Amino acid sequence: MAVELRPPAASARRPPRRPGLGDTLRQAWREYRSMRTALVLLVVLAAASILGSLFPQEGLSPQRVDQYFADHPALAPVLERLGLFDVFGSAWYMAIYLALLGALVACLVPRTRALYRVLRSRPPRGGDLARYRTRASLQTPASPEQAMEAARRTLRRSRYRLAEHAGGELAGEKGYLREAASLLFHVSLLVLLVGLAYGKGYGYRGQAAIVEGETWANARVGYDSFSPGRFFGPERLAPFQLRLDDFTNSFHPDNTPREFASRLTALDLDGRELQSQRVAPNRPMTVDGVRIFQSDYGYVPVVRVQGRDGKDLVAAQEVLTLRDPATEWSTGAVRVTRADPQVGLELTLFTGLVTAPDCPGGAPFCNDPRLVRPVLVVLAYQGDLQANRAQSVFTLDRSRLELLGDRPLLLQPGQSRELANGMVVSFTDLKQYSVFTLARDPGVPVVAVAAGLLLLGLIPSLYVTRRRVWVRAAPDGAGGTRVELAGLALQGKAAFEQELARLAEQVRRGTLGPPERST
Amino acid sequence: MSPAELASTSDTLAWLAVLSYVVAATLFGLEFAYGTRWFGVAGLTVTVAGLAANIGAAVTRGLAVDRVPWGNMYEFSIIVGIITVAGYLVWLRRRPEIRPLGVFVLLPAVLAMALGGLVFPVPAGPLVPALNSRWIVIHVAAAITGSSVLCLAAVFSILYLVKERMERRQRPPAPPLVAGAAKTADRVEVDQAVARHARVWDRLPSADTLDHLAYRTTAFGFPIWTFAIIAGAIWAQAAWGRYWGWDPKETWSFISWTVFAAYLHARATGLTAGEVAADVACGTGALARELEALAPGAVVVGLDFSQEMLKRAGRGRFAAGDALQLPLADASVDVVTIAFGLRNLPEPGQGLLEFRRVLRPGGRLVVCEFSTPVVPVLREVYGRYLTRLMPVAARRLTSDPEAYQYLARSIGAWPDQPALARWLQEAGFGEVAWRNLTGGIVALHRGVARP
Repeated sequence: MAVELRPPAASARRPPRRPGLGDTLRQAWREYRSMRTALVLLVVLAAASILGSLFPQEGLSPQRVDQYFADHPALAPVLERLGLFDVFGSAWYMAIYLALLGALVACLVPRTRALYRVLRSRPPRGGDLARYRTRASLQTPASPEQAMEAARRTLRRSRYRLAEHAGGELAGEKGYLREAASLLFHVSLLVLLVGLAYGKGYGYRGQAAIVEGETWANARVGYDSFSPGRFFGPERLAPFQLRLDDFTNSFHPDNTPREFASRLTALDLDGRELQSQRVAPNRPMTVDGVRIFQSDYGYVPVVRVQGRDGKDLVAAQEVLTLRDPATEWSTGAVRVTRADPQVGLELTLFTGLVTAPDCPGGAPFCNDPRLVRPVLVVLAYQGDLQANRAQSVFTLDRSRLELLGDRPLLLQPGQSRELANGMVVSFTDLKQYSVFTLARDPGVPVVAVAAGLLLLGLIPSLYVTRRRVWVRAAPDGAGGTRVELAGLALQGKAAFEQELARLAEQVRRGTLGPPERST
Repeated sequence: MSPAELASTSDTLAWLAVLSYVVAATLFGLEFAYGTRWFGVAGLTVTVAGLAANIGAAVTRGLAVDRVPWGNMYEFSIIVGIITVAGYLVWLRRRPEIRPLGVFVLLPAVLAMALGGLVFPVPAGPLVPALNSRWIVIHVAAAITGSSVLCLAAVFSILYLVKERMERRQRPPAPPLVAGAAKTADRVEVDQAVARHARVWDRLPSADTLDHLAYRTTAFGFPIWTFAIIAGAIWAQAAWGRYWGWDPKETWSFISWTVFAAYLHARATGLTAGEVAADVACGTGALARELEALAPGAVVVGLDFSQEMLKRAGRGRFAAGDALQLPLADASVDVVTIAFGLRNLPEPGQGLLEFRRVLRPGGRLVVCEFSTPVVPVLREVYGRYLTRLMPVAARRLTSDPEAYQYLARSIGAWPDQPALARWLQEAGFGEVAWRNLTGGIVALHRGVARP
């Protein structure tokens, strides 16, 4: 082997070329796309995500963040500044995963190019087969040509890609699927994240409550809560209306909820019916690209308040109440601002009021969640309602109110009762309302397809192995032929030794009789 | 039987299963500690009985609630118990030597089930409406299978780390540098403790086997876990209109996915079991020992032409060998490493050709050597240090200033990174690349032997 190499002494006389800025950058790029960088970034990403589960998150449980601020007044603002209450939306979390994505792209480009080159080129020469770790050989009475033909057949049947080289050498290679599938997995991961970002940016989520029999228009003002994506304009809200035709709920014998469902009709802005569907948990309705999910429900007692003179102080008002999911009773409030002094009514609605001794645990009263005997319990206050101040619609600010009368009034639907000051409260009707989550996420199809491809790529990228086989045949000097096989597996080396032995056996059998159809 | 009777039967069976697993874990532990086979066989019997009770608990629970029995954390923990233990038994059929691992497999199963029973006990009952979905059945089934399999993988990985450390410690220590140094009483005691320890841990399968089990189990569990996350996202999309919201379960499923992805990436590199590596100019064998620790099951041979150095390397696979005429057959090793040795060869080019001769086609060469700093300022400072400061300091502080002058001269005359890379290419290596360490004061070059 006479390869001319410069001895180091030669380079001492002529100083070696000094690496410049280009080399430094190229080196940094290589480092960035290396497996080690990916590994470090993956571990850093995992560690950063752990932070997100250690601290309460603004997007998930704002109440717990407020609680944290109350408990740690000194520490909380610092943590907030560091983005620890919104880890997954913070700049540094974004920096980590963008760095990872960048490394992924930097790694995928040369890998794709390399795979393309490999697929374009022929399986390479093996050279001296005796140098390989995995080898097999066999003797056969057939001629070298016949033996090589049998080898060709065997390898082709095992779906090796073949190439003939000088000196009667046959080279075969297979298992490109591993790299292709791995590339598919990583590209899908990229596409998935792009779809996720696209959907988040151009979509929105909101909640709206609709009372039975009423029609709701899809406009920003109609939502109780609304969180648009960064690039979502309110003008993008699809033009439609929703009508809640009917709401039903049912319970298991142990009084846990069985199901609740709304019969919803979508209308265009002119009131023409577009579609009608029963919407229940896990059964959303899609209108104009907007998905409508059943998320909650509650009760709407209709209450009327008359003065001593019989005139309406509050004409039949639909009072939205807040339902407690544990007990199924609901609370709300009515403000009679036209009375002097002002009167406030605290309402508690029972779907089925049960009193002792029929309640568990000796409680004085309890509630049957089924709507069997609705009872409205009214507690009246008088004084200043402070109606100009912002306050919850479901409760009264009792700081300037005093109790009116000494006992609560109990009303069934259709009943009226007189308050201590002579005003009359009527419980004229009971309706239900249904709460819907409306969401538009244009990224979902992209994410779904990407997730499917990701899974498709994952398994071959773990289980397929890339391997090469070389075969040569020569007369053994006794009238027969000696066939040499050598192989190189990049992964799964132990299993490959058995495979090569099996291939050799198949070649041997192939030289003896007519080609077998199956192995 | 009425649903209520079925439910109470299920609870009884679940506790029976936990009890059996505790007993079995104890028996396996005893086998592990004392090496008595009888304990292991008894432990295996009790495990199988416990598994039967465990399956019975799941089936009766399912009949009692008239749906798939994985609707809440309690039911989840029962099924985790089944799959973890069943997975262990399946591996055991193929690899009987892992029986003493029973104690390490049963403990997390018991922990999961006890946690389910004590922290999240949920009486048999129907599901809340939001959980009433075909996708949640698929998602939870995949999540249980995935987490049980990955739990097994984690057990194997942890045991591998323990065993690997033990194997490294058991290697004969280097002989004392000062001949005839007597062992002190302390030293003897420590040695005995190590030996006692070693006997117990000897019963673990080899680090090589454990590593193989850990990888295979992870490669099996990872796609299942990926599918579980995707199915969960599909369900969340159908239930709430958002497929991902960083709630605690989603966050932790993502964290564990990331960690196992990192593990698979880490496994995709490096020396593997069954390969042969030669560390040329090994000196006292520090690098050879590191390599051996990195890849259990790999054969690492340390070679040096200085008998004096080899004496200090101690026992192990060390041999005398001139880098220009290695005592190795053609194409007999998979990896050649040489750290701070190539520069000192009288003919580095011949050395590279010699490495190429002993390497199998596809074998790797790694050269660690002083090189040229890439940042101009550092290069300047380092150059002055080498030519001015080091010789002066060496004259004052060491007994052999000549050696340091040689060091400075040879580093200055040594080719830079691209030049050395070209040498490797000329010597028949492909895929040549290098990585700078400490800004290029040292560089790692690697190449793959072409056929």
